[in-house]
Amino acid sequence: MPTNEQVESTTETHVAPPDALIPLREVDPFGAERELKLRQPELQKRLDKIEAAKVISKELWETVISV
Amino acid sequence: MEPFLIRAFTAQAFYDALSNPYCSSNEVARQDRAIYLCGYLTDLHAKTMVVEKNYIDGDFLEDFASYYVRCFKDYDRRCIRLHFFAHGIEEAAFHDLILAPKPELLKGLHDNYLGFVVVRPLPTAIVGRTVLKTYPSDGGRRHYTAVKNYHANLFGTAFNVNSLPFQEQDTVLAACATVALWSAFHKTSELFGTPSPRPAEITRVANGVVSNARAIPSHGLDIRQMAHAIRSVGLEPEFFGAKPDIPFVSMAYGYLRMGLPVILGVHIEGGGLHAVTLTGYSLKPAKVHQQEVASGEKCIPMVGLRIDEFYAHDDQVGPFSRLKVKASIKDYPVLFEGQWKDKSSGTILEIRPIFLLIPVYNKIRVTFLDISGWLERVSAVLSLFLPPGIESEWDLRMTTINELKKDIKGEQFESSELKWLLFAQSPRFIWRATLRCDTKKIMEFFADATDMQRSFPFYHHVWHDKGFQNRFQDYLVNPQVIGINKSMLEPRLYEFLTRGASSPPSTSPSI
Repeated sequence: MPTNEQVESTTETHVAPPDALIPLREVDPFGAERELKLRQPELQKRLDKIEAAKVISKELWETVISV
Repeated sequence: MEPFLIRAFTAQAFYDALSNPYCSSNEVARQDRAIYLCGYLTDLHAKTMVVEKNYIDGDFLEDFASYYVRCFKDYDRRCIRLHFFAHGIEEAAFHDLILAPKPELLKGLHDNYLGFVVVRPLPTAIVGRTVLKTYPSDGGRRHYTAVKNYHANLFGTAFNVNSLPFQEQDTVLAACATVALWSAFHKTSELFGTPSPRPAEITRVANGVVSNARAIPSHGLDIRQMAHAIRSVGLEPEFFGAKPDIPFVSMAYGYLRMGLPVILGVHIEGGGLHAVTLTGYSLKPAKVHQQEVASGEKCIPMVGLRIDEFYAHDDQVGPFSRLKVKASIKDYPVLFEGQWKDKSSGTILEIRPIFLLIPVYNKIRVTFLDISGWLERVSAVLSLFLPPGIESEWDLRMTTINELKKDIKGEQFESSELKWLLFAQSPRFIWRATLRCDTKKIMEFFADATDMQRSFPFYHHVWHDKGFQNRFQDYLVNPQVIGINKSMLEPRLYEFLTRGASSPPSTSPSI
């Protein structure tokens, strides 16, 4: 499995189109496809955590605030 | 005998003024809230105190009718109100000014007015309804959003102060949860036209849904009871647990920015659960934290990384008390450091976030978390284009259509975009998400906060960086990556982002 550095190097060829406000990486679609496939499980994990955060436990709901 | 006294503001004069037959000046000087208020007023450069004798306070009067009148001791039903000014006033001059106001002198009084403290005639919990001016903005970093304009009438002269009412808990009719709700309802009454009941009424209503113990004397509310109190004023309780993987600071900011009062539930180290009302935040120009989730967790970079402290009405500390944001190793997204100290050692106690509870208008249905899920998707694809060293930030906050239209007139938008945003029918409540890279605005999303969680919330987007837009959209439609992009973004977001210009929403504006 490639490291993050190896994945990044497959997508970056040169910098900065003249019309962008910030310098951008040149994205090669083949490299990008590979990189996104590697990122996909992490994104799904993140989305699952956000969904889980919407659930309120009964224990918390019944907690008394008294200090 | 004059109905008022004029005193130079000093710690001793302040403690004397707070004292009563059940609580001596020396006892007052040992009470944390009194010490805090004295320091706060000193910071505001208070010079003069006008003591308004025999003041009838509506909040205390209801407390009195609900409880104190039936005590064997003969508690007074009248309070004292202390008004503070940042300039010196002579008693005779003040007398003349009240009876025959001179405009230039009155202006001096108005300009120097700092607010008031109602003093309750009780053995403890002497600090009643308190409405004091906020600290200055300090170069634009301090934002007090959950405040409103208050009028205080003193012998026929009206003074204005921008603030939110604070009071100390008495654990008779109101513990911290009740007081936090009471402060919050004062702001929601301005935002949504809903009632702002008095503390005794909040405690009574909250105990109507479920009662773990006797309602009065009150020793606290549980979250169900707090939620019920919110529903009783016609609002809905938006509730979030403080999970270690959720950007807690940005979430609080997302609601607070619009002026929604956010009730923060915390665990005090070595103690129990406590509730405070967040009234503002300090936003620095650059990042002050590396992350706002627990160590080892990840989330998109958000504006919370620039917030170094919140300002809270803490009924056991004082109004606008600082809550510094600290990094958390585990279990909590962040930690807070405030003025809570261990009574024996004096060491500062850790404050751990447990929940956020926000009283919202019933049409605000799409939450911060709903939108942040979509932004995670965009960010995962968009970041392909960002070289190392570029600092990106998502600024996600709720706004209203009227506020949005007002705000964008002072911002840079292309004329066609400005026209669209000003003239198109839009929802009443909107989530606005701005992506900045190295402080430059790159793009913005506008989402309908009145929609459903499962529908696609965005109705418009604006690219401020056309170069970025061209490159990104060219990439999105490249046949090699259409499949993976649709999978990462979801087909609805993919279609939305590949549209050259989005179409106005077809629905009528929300009311």
